[in-house]
Amino acid sequence: MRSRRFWTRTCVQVPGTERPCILVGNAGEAEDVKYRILKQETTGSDFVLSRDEVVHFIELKARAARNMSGSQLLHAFRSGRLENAGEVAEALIMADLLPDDDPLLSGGAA
Amino acid sequence: MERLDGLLAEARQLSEACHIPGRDCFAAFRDLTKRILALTVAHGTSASLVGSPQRSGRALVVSGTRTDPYAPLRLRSGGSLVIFISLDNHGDEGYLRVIESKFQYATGEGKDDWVFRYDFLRSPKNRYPAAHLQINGDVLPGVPNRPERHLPDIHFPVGRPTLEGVIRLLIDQLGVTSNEPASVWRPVLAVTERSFLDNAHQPLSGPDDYDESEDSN
Repeated sequence: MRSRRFWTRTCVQVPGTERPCILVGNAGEAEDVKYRILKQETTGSDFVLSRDEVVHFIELKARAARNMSGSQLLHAFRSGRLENAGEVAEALIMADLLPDDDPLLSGGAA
Repeated sequence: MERLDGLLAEARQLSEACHIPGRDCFAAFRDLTKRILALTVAHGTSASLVGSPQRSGRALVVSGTRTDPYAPLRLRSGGSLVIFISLDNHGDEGYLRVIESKFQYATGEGKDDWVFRYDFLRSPKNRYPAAHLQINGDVLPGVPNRPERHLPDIHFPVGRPTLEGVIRLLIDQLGVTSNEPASVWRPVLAVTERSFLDNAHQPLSGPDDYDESEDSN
C-alpha cells in the first residue's frame, strides 16, 4: 500500500518461519505485528539507518568536533560534563535512535 | 486569496495531524516542516525523516541526507541552516513530542562560521536552560566590566524555540530571501506556530535540582 507522503518497503521475518518476505506499507505496520525487521527502504528523501550507521555518524561528529570517541562523547553528555553540547548536538540527537540499553550508551564498545 | 486559503487549510490539517497519536504524526511533522521551509527560505531539498529499526516510536527530522545527515539546508540567498530534531510518541497517550532540537544559522562553510544557535533539550544534563540561545559574537570593547565568559559560551534562556521563529528572524532581520511573499508565509507560519505552541511543553529556565559540585564549567 503506497501513501502519497511516506511509504516503506520492509524485509521481515515472520516468527516461526525461515523465508523472509517483503511488506510494502506504512512504516509502523511491521513493528505493530511483531515481525523481525531485516531491512527497510523508504520513499523520497526519507531514510532508515541501521545501528552501525547511527554509530558511524555519532563517531564522525565526536572525532571531528572533540577528538573523542562517540561513547566518550555520550558518556560525558549524560554525566553533565560535556561543555558546549550544542556544538555536537547532532551526535547527541542521533543517539536518540539507539535503544536505551545499547552498548554505546552504557559506555561499551561501538 | 484562493491559493492562500488552500495553503492555510493545508497548514491546519498538517498541524492537526501532528497532534493525533499514532505513527502518522512523524510523517505529518516532516511534511509540515518541508512545507513551511518551501514557502520561505529553503533552496532545494529541505527535510528528511530518519528512522531506525532498533528504536520504534522515535524518529529524527533533519536537514541532511542519507549520506550526510548533518548537512545543513542551503538558503536561497546564501548561508545555511542546520535543522536537527528528535521526535517520539512515547509521551502521554502517544502524542508526538520533540525530545531535542537544534537550529543553527551560518554564513560560511567553516566550523566557526555560525551566527546563532537555538537548542532545546527536554531532559537537560547540566545547569544550562533546557531551551537556550547562543550567539557567536562578542561584547563591545568599550563596555565596562565585561563578562569573563565569552559570549558564544553563554546560554541565554528562551521560550520553546520554533522553526517558525528562526525563519522569521532570518527573513525579517538577517536579510535572507523568501521564496514566497510575506502576504503568503506570514499567515501560514502564524497558524503552524500557534498550533505548536498551544501544545508544547514550556521548560523552566534552569534545573531545579542540579548539583553545582559536579559542574566542570
